[in-house]
Amino acid sequence: MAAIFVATLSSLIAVARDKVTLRYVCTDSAESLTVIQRICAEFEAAHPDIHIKVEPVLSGTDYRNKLLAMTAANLAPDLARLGQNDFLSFARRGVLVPLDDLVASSPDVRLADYYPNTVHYFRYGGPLYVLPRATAPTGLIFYNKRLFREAGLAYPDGNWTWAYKPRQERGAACFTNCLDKLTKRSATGKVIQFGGGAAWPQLWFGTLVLSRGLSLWDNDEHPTKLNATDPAVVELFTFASDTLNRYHWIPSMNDLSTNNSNIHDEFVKGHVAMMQSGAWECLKLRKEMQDDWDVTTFPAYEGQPARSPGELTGTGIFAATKHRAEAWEFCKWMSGVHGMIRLAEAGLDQPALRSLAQSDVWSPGPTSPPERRIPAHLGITDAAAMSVTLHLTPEYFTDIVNLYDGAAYDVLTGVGTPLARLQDVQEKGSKRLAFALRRDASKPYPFYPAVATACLIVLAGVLWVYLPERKVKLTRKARKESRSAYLFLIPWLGGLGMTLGPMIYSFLVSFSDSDIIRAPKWVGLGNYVEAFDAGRDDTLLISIKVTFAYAAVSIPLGIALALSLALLLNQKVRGVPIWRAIYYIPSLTSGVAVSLIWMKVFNPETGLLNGLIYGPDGARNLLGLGTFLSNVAGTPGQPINWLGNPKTVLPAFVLMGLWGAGGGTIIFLAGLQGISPSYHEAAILDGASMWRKFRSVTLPLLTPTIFFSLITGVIGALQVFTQAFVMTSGGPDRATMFYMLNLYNKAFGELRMGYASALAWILFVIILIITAIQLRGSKRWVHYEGEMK
Amino acid sequence: MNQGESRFSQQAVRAKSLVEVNQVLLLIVLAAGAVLFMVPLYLMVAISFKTETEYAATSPWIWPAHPTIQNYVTVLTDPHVNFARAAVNTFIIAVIPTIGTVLTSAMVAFAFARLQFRGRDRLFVVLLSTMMLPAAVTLIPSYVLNAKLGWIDTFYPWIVGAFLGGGAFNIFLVRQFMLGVSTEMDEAARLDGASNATIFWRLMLPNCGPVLATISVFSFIGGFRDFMGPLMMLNSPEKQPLELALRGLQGAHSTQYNLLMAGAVLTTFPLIIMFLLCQRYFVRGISLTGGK
Repeated sequence: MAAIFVATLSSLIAVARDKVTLRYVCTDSAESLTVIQRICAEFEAAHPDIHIKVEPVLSGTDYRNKLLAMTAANLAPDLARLGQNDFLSFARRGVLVPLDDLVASSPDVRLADYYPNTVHYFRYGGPLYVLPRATAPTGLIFYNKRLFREAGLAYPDGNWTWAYKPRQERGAACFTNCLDKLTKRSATGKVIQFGGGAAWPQLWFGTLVLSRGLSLWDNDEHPTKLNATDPAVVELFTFASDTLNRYHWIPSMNDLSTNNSNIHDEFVKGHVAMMQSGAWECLKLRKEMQDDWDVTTFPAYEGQPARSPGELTGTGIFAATKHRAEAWEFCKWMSGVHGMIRLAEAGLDQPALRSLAQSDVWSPGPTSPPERRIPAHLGITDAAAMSVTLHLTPEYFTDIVNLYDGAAYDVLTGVGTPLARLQDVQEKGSKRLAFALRRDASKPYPFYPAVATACLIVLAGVLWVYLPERKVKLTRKARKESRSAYLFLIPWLGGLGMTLGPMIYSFLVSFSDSDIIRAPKWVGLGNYVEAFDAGRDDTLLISIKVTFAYAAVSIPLGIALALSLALLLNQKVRGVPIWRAIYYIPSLTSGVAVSLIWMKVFNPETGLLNGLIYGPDGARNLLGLGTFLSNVAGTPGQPINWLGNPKTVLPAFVLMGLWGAGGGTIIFLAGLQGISPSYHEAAILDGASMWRKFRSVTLPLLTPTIFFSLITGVIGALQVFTQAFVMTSGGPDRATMFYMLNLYNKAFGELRMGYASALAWILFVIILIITAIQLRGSKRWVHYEGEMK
Repeated sequence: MNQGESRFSQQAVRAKSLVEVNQVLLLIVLAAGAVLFMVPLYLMVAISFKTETEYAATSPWIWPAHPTIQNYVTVLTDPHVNFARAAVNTFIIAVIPTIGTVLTSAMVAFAFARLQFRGRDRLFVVLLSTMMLPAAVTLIPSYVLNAKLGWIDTFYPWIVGAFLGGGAFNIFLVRQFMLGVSTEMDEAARLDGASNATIFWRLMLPNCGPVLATISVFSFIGGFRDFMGPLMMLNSPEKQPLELALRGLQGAHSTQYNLLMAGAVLTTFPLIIMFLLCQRYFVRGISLTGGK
């Protein structure tokens, strides 16, 4: 194995010897990677002295974090694919090369040829840091032509507008009217066809805000004031909520709680007449959609210019590169005609060069291959790209943008009234904003005292371990045993440094303002004071409440289920290995599959859980549970929206956790195997009943395993994160704002590693205290058969 | 006498039928639970046999009308997934750490469970405390540390890391098990002049079969399913393990779930089979049961 390793490594070095190797980091799906690699190969053919090493990061959510880690470790790549938000994180910290001089010296690059907004948004404080490669307007409306014909509406041509009320007299020229006319109900009043829907929930909301021309805050560069309770904002929130919860033009956000909405599938099935999304949909729709379909732009609000959201992509050069000239060559190639043509041909990226986007490389034209002539009006993406408008705000403002997003999410799910939620945003947001603006991080971190402190911590730790026992006189034999014990500990003690080093580092960082890349600034106890200042930000308190509620229910249930399963699976029954494997399957499942599976289980309309409780058509009422649940936790007469309802989302998470009980089960099975059969034999000879045997023999001898499950269960439950991050982002109404999710948002969303470290150490202390109590209490109930006196 | 005999056999028959009734009841309970625990597998398999069109157009719970193996062919032949290469990588980061974890965590656990040494109980608290700090805040410093060691884009973090005790969770689990094993045997052996190493190797390890099997399953699956580790530590596409390579099938905006599920099935079944094969090691160690 090591041989393979060395061989690969040396072959890489051999290739690189006489060439310049550029590392290009990107995040793309396998589909686009094929094209990216073809572009690189073509570039290498044209530049024989340059080798491009493509390093794909196959997870969009972790992409920026990996780039940050690389930068922090001085391993930044030469170039990277950067989006509008990623680039800002790096441009602000001065780790990207400003491109203006390079552009000026390159006659083959004319910024005027690019969509003006792409160049505009890739500037930070003046200089251009990213050469645009693609624009992806997300204000595209895909529509089902058959459903338009059935409703007696003309096909939209992009010159339409929207208003708060359907204007029937304008027919298909009024988007709101189309939404209304395209929504159909059955005789029982159930909506069987929806007018529209957006590919993901916040998109619909964000587009309405943009298009209406509202400012939710005073300015993007340096926001200081919020306009959440502005009557126009309240009006818009109310309208957005009504489109779902009152008029039912848009599916009742059953998938709002998940980031992977299925509006796409509903559109394909013809249950949704219009879908707002981006041009990438074409690739799938061409294959899936039986009905005739086409695309147009999101309507402008009456009397306003067209504005729509979008995603920009480009190529940036890291300042740490040793081959600036070569990197610029590649940057020009990738973000120039060569790269764009390949990506456009594959139908993946709309070129950032406008003339290229208008040509039949991207837009359907006479020379396009037949499969790319659908949809016929894809050329309208040019107009959509021109209307792309972004609100790129500073990092200190991320927290407030999240507040708005949370409010939008709640309003769309029907939690709270728009006015109440907005007042909440205004009040909390203003406090947080004022604090963020006041935050003073100008003092340099005292480096040498910090190093000294780190040494002191280690020293104190060592003393704490040894001093109390120094006076104990050991016999010669005991001393020998003690010494030999340390031989057994060597592997762990060797690795301890690698664990404790980062831990101590994060402890020191918790007294600073740190953005991962730049040198930390000293803030003393500021982060800890801020964390407990609930008047300004109650997120920490909420997250502690949520996390403890989850832990209090899930730990005992989890242990009870794992133990019962283990007892069952420890019986002499046919096919034991197979049964055990079956119960362990959920714990073996790949992470990519898990969240999809849960979405399918909890979906209120088509989900398995509601299928069991309410029946496939909603007519059943399992043991009266359906009515009971709906009356207590949801809306009477409607199935429970598990992940979209603040009352049921935590139970749903507990259920998800219980499905992984198989891991605990095999731990208990091992524990049961550790019980010597002689005890059971003795009990049987004494004529003990099953229960008696369990109570007096099995249970006491299992206490070491139960104790283990308790300790690790607490640690695991208090650090629960993944599913909340992937599926609910903390919502609805912060009902799944787990401690770790809040911490992650602070660390990697707002890039406040200092504050996040303080949160981490607060959690550490909480867990330590609970564990210490458990350890102390364990002496009373844990029975160790082989304990050394 | 005759009467007594028949009563005895009647009792035996009754006891036997009671056992059978229990067996049937047990099977029913197990089967009912199994249905629930098989849901993920069913969904994965069902979707993996659907075409993109059928997946979009039908309920996910319906078995495909025309099952196709095309998704499997696509996943297995996708040049970017590079299944064979990724499978080799996966085995590197699953098998080597498993060996290291079983060996070294048993050693460390043995010291904590069976030996007296200065500061043992406080060191044990240190051991537990390494599990208590959220990994999110040590992610970057750990990365920098690995970079300083030159371990980025290599398998060393897994290879070396595994021989450093195998993590607090495993050490703790094995320690608990060892504390449950009676001390009579080691005391006897010690009187005979056996060293700690002998007691560990000859007496303790053979008695710890079930728990060692458990931690090997955990660390094998942990390595097999590790996503964040490879994502951060590895850069080169040719070093990607399956769990990472298959993420490439997930697009930023549109994901072909039928392909993704085919990939998930392809990586889940080997684990199930491995788990089935491992089962015989879960049974209590051979003879040296102590206690008696």
